[in-house]
Amino acid sequence: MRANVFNSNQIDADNVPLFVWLLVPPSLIFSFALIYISQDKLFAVIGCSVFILSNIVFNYLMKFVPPGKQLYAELGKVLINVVIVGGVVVGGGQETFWILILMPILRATAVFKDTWLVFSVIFAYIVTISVALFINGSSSSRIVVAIMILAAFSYMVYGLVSLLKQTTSRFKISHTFFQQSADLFLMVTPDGTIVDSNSVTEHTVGYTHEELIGRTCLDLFTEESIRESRDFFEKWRRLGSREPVEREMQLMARSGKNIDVLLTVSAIKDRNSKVMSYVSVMKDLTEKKELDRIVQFEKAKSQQAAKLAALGEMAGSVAHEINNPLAIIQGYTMRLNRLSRSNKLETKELISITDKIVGTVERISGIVKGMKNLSRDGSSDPVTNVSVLDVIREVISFSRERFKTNQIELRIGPVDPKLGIRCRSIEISQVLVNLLNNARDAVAGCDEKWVEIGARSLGSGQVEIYVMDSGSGVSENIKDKIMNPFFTTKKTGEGTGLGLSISRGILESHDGDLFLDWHSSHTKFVIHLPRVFLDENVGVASL
Amino acid sequence: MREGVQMSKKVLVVDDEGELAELIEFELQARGFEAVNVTSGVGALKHLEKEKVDVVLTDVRMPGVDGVLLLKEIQKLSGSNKPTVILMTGFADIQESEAKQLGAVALLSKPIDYHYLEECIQNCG
Repeated sequence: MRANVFNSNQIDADNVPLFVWLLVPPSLIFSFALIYISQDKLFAVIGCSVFILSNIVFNYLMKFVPPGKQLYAELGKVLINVVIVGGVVVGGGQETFWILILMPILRATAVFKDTWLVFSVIFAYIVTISVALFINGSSSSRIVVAIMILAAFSYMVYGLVSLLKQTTSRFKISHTFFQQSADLFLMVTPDGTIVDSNSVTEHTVGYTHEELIGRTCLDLFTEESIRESRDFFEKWRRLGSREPVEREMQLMARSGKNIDVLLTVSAIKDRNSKVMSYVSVMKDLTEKKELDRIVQFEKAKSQQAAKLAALGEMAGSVAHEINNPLAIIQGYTMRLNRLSRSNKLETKELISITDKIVGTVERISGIVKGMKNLSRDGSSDPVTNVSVLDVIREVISFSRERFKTNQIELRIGPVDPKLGIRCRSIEISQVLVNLLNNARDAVAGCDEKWVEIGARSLGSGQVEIYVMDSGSGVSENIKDKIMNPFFTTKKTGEGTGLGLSISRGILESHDGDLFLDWHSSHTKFVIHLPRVFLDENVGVASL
Repeated sequence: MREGVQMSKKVLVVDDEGELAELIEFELQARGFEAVNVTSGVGALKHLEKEKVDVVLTDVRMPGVDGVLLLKEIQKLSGSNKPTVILMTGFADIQESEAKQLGAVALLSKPIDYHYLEECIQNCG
């Protein structure tokens, strides 16, 4: 991730603890000088040793200070230094005081990160003290002070140069890198104030660089997006914000337009794991979202088209299935008419004929219902427990006619009526009709023509529904392609090649699977779906 | 009306849907024809071997020997035994022109227009 590249760059930047360690050599020089000029030499030795040791111990202990508490720790260090220095001053004279007071000021650099200011203060301080000592001090103290100033000064120059180098290179790398980036980039302080941005961001949100700097980054996101992600980022911060995190957010441009972005935030930390700033890289998702939407739309359209094509193909059979019972109703009505005209209609026969008419009407309505179901989009239906037998019966009643026409035997394997599946039953019916259609087409040229549909319970808590045909399996060279969208072996205009891939998609959305059973000697497509057990009467109730 | 009307015509109704075959048979009888029904193309051919009929009214879409095949078989029969064939269909399985080309006198759609059917039967032979 890009932010990581930047992250690794932080190691030596604002490296205050290292800087503090570098204070040890001048501290030693100061200490020797103190001992040399002090009236009470033993006291000075003890004072300096305590001073140096306390700093070493403190610097070591800093490692264990949790992020966020470091300011207090640093303040504590300064306080202890002041106490030690005070002690030395009381027992060691004026020179000791002036020189030792320098140490806590230097230590202050660890607390106050504005290095430039601290260095300026220290420099001014040293110059003032030096001048005062040169004018009023003894000759020996003048020599010591001169050495100390030299040491402190060279040390400061060294510190400054290295710090400057790091800052510049970091700024250069980050700035150049993000300026050239095609993504949006923001650098913010821990409290959310923007300190740097790139031109892509400026262009996207419609603010100038100057307008962005100093603004809180929350201003740039939609309220909804902030509300939804607050807990997420809060948790990330609480857990120490170690790894960069990603989240989809929505920017609000100056124009009021909302822009979907994928936000990646990484924390830039100092050596003590204290967060210095956050780097936010945002990928504009507008185009991707639009593309996704189009793909979704096209997919839905082609799915519907595939269904309609199948429906058109079925229309003939359906019309046949409806017109036949209509002719039956017509026949019975004409019979009733004739019988009553000739006064030969007996109540018994009237009941029998009307019963038959009602039964035939139900047959038609069943077919129409099946067609309505199979042609509609069932993808947003609720998931319900249904009997496998019911689903298979529905599918068969729908396909029977066409199998009959093509003189293909349609077999139903044994199915336990208690066997149930949890599914959107219309979608599963559509898949099964599709598999039956494929099987029907596949065996059309065979000598032996049969298709079998059946189901059984598997040990794994699943139900297997299979559609097997008298064909001898799928040829080796298309095995890998058969589930691919738009792959078809049918003639142009006869198949869209979407059936199996859509069917598989439907099964996957049911936590199920659809595959070709390679071990079967006949062509056998298998569906797996999560199993449920039904009450004994459920399977029969809807028949 | 033609002269031969007095002599009732023999009609063989062929439909794999037995209930419908029976109902058509009943209606034709009520209309004064002599009608029998069978439920398959094979059954029809067997019946024709035994008995001469004037008209075969057959469904197009049937398992095994379907209406078109039956029509073709009937066309092979010799002159006097050769009945007139009327096809009926639940949907556009074939076009009327195609049916006529194959030798059928009419293609009826279901539900049946019995007036037209009666006319067709009377006009044949």
